[in-house]
Amino acid sequence: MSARLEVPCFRHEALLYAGIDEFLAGTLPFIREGVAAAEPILVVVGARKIAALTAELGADAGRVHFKDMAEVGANPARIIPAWNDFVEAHRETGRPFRGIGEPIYPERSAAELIECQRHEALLNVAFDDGPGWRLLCPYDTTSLPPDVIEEAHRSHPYVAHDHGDAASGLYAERALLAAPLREPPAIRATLTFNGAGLRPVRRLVSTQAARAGFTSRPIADLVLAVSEVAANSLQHGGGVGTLRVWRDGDVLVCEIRDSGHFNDPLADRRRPAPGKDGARGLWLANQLCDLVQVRSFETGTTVRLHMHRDRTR
Amino acid sequence: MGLADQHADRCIYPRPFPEGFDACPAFQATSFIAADSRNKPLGTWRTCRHLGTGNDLENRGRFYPRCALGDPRQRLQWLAQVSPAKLDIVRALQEEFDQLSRPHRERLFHARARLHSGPPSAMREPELEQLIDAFLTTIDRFLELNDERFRDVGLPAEPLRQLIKEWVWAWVRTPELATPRFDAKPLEVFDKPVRAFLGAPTEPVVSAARRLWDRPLYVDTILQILPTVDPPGLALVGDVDRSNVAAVAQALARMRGHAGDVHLDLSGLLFCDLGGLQVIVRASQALEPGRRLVLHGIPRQLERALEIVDWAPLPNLAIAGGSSA
Repeated sequence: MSARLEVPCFRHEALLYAGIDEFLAGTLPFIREGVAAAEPILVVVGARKIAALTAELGADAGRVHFKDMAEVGANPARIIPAWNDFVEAHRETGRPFRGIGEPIYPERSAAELIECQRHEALLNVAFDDGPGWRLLCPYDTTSLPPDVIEEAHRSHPYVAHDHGDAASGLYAERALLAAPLREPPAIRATLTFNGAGLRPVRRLVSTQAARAGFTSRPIADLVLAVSEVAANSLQHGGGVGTLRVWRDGDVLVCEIRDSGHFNDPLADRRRPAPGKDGARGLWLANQLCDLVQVRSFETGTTVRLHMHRDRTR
Repeated sequence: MGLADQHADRCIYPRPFPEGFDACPAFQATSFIAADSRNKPLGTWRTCRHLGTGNDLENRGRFYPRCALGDPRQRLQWLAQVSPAKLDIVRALQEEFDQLSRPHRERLFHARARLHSGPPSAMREPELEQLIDAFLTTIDRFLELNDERFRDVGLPAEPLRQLIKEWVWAWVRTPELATPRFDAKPLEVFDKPVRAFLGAPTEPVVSAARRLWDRPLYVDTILQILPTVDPPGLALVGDVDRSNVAAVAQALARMRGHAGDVHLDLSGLLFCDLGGLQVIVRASQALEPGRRLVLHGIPRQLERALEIVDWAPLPNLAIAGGSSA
C-alpha cells in the first residue's frame, strides 16, 4: 500500500481488518498519504471510528472531511450520491482525491445488508468511467460473517490485508445487482392500480401505516414515496401495477410491481433536475424511506419501500 | 325542495355505516351500543364521531343527521388542516380502542342498566366504581403505550385521560337513552381543529383569500382548482398528482397574464406529488423578475419535499405565513 501509484482510473479497494487496531493500521497510512499529497479526503465511517481516527491524526484531522455513515448511509442508496458530490467537487481541479467508506457493519438488517452489497457493486458501475480516485472500504472480519467477506472479494477489484494488497481473484463486475428478494411474510393488503388514479394507493398505504403504529410524518413520507413509484408504473411500467403491503417486525414494506423494465442500475441514485422528468420517483423514495429495493428484469420491475416505525434509529 | 337541500351540514351517507365505508373523507368510525327503552342492549353499531343531530327550527323542530364538521367544503378543509395522515392515526387508535374497551363497555352497560332501572339495591356505587377503575386502568395502559401517536395528533395523554374519565362517569350517570351531554369546556385544552377528533364542532381556518367555489377552473374527483380574490390567485383543494397536474400547470400559466404577484392558496391541499411541486416551481420561474408566486398555507409535507429536492435558488417563489399540519 505504500507504493504511490498514479491512478488513471477509479480504484475500489476492500480493506479486511480484525478489530479497531487493525482498522487504524489499515486506514491511517492511507489517510496520511493523502494528507501528505494535499489530496481532498472524505471519510464516511461510524461515529466511534471517526473519534478514533481524529485522535490518532491530531492536527492532520483538520485536513480530512469526516461524515457519519449512520447519517449518510442509513439508507445505503444515499451513499453513491454523496460520493458523487465529492467527485464532482474535485474532478475539475485535476488533483487526485481519495475516500474511505464503511457501509457494512453488523447492525445492518438482512435486507439492508443485501442493499449494501449491491451498493458496493454499484460503486464500480457509477465511477469506473469517471476520473481516477481511490476508495477504500473497510470490512471487520471479527464481526461480519464469512460470506459477507467473500462478497467483498467479488465487489472490489482490489483487496487489502494486513500483509499488503492484491487484485481480487473473485472480482465480478456486476455481482449481486440482481440479488433475489425474499418471499414476504403474511400480506396485509393487495391492490391493483391503473390509470383510473392513485388516490386508492395512497389511502391504502396511509391506513396501513397508521395501523402499524406510525406517526404522521413517516406516514406522509411513505405515502408520497409509494405514490411516486406507482406513478412510474403508470408512465413506464405498462400502465398497471400491483401494490402489496406487509410488516417485517417494526418495518412496514410497500411493494410495487409492474411489467416495465429499465436498464440503468443507478436509476434510483440520480438527483432529479427541476426541468427533467425521468426516474425522480425512485430518487425521492430513497430520500424519504429507510430502504428501497429495486429489481428490474425483462419480466418486470419490483420496488420495495421499507419504512421503520421508530425512525429515530 | 327536499329536506336534504336545506341543510348543507346534513350527513348524506347511508347509516349504519357499512364495514370498510370510505365514501366520506372525514369519516371517523366509532362503535356504540344501541339499547331499547329498558336499557337492554340491542347490539353494537358503527357510527361516525362527527355525526350528531341538528334541529331544524324552520321545519317545526324536526331533527336531521348533522355533521359536526359542517358542509362538504368545510369537511375537506378540516381534513387538510389536520392532515389525512393524522386522521388515519386517530382512526387506527379508535379501532384499537374499540376492540380493547368492548368487554369493559359491555359490563358497564349492564351495570348502568341495573343502576337506573332495577331496585335501588341492585347496583351499588362501589361496584360501579370498581368496574370504572378497571376500565380506566386499561385506558391508562393504552394511552401510555401509544403516547407518541396521541401526542403526534395533538391529543396529549394527561388531559385526554381526564376527559375520558369524565365521559365514562357522565355516561354511567345518565339514565336517559340519549347520549349524555358532555361539557365542551375540558376540550379547550386541545387545539381547535384537533377537538373535532373527539366529536366537537369545528370551524376550519381557511387562508385569507376568498375562494370562488361557484366558478371552478377545474374539477375532477380528487381536485378542485378555484379562483380566489383578495388576494387574487388560485386555490388548490384536494390531491394533485399526475392525473391532473396538467390542469394545475394550465391554471397557473393563465395567472401569468395578470399583473403583480400570483397567490396560490394551498391550505386545502390533501396531497401533492413531485410533479405537482415541479409545476409550481416552474410557474414561479416563468414569472418575470420582480413578480413572485406566493404560496399560502403550504402543508408541512410539501415544504419538506421542497427541501429534499433542493431546487434552490428560487428567487420568484415565496412562502407566506405558517404552515399547517
